[in-house]
Amino acid sequence: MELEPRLFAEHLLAGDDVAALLYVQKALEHFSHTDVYEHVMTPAMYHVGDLWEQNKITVAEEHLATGVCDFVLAQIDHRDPPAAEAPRVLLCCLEGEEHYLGLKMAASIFRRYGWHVRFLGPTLPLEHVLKDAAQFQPQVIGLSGALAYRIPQLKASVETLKAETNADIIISGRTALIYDLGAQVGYAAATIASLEALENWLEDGNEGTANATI
Amino acid sequence: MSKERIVEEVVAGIYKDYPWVWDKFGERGKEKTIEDNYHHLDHLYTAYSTGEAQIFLDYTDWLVTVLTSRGVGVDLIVDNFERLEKSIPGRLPQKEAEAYLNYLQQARVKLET
Ligand code: B12
Repeated sequence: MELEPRLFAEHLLAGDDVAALLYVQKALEHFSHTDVYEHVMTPAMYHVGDLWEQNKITVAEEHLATGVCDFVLAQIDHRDPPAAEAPRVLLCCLEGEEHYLGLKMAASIFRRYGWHVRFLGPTLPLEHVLKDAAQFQPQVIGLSGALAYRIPQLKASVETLKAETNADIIISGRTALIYDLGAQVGYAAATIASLEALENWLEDGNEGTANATI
Repeated sequence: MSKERIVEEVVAGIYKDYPWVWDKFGERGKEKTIEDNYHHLDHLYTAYSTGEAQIFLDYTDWLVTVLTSRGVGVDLIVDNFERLEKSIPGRLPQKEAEAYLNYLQQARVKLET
């Protein structure tokens, strides 16, 4: 079987949740979750974005596709309860950032590696991230940013989180990857370039020491 | 805030000089123009604070695809950037203003070739 993100994108745009889920379930017989996230769902959503940019689909169709993709993601995110002493990760998008599907994929991978995951979704003001982190005491805080103008905010937030929590900070998302956000935030955070990189990091960076250069 | 003053002046100028834009796109179009100009300034600030002019140039490419596919010509983008260049001086700290003008000019050169 060859992975066909364009075919998956057609199911998304048709709002055909059943066909989309079946396609992914079939792919999972031959490929890992990470492969399916990275090589089917992500490029399909990027394609949807390109079509929107070129005015070839409507805003409504873009929303429909997003909803179906989110549904499929939830369906295949099988989970076992983590061990009590397992490490903890807090994942969120900063205030104003609505693009959370990539973050949700990262959450799914952390769960597969047995972590306690606190997935806080889109657009969370920094004060609430801090409050929640004080309670949950995560070893790792992961942020995701999709929009280019998010960079100054990401940078400032990383500094605050670094100063006010004991967690290692990881950042990713479209904007972190296109522009070298690593160079902007210096040693305060690790930029994780893909879900595959996240897996590598989880495999050798025990207990979330984010010093690994990725 | 100075940002609001800049956006106000730019948008008022566009609708004064090109009444046909109003006829074509209406009230919703004007709201969009206001939103777009905040977006321009956000990307100018991002380029400035990171020292990466490329962020604004990439944004300009993206803007061209989004707007031309929706019936707004490149000439209007160029015109809008020129208006920003006139409105910015004196309304932002000098160093920041100079950087913005530099990015806007680079983007216009790209748009006009
Ligand atoms: C769906 C979508 C939306 C949805 C989001 C809903 C949701 N539930 O997420 C809605 C409709 C809300 C939306 C709104 C907007 N959007 Co939008 N959107 C998209 C679209 C089509 C797909 C996003 C997506 O899900 N991608 C798939 C995921 C899986 O990819 P990803 O986030 O990059 O994640 C991968 C990696 O980055 C990484 N990763 C991500 N996060 C994390 C976190 C960790 C910890 C780790 C380890 C890894 C990791 O792993 C993932 C797997 O490979 C993109 C197109 C694109 N290229 O992404 C546009 C896109 C991002 N949007 C765009 C724009 C412009 C907007 C709006 C400004 C439009 C508007 N005028 O209203 C608003 C802004 C909203 C806001 N304030 O945040 C532009 C951005 C352009 C730019 N130059 O900045 C894009 C690129 C579309 C385009 N081609 O023009 N959007």
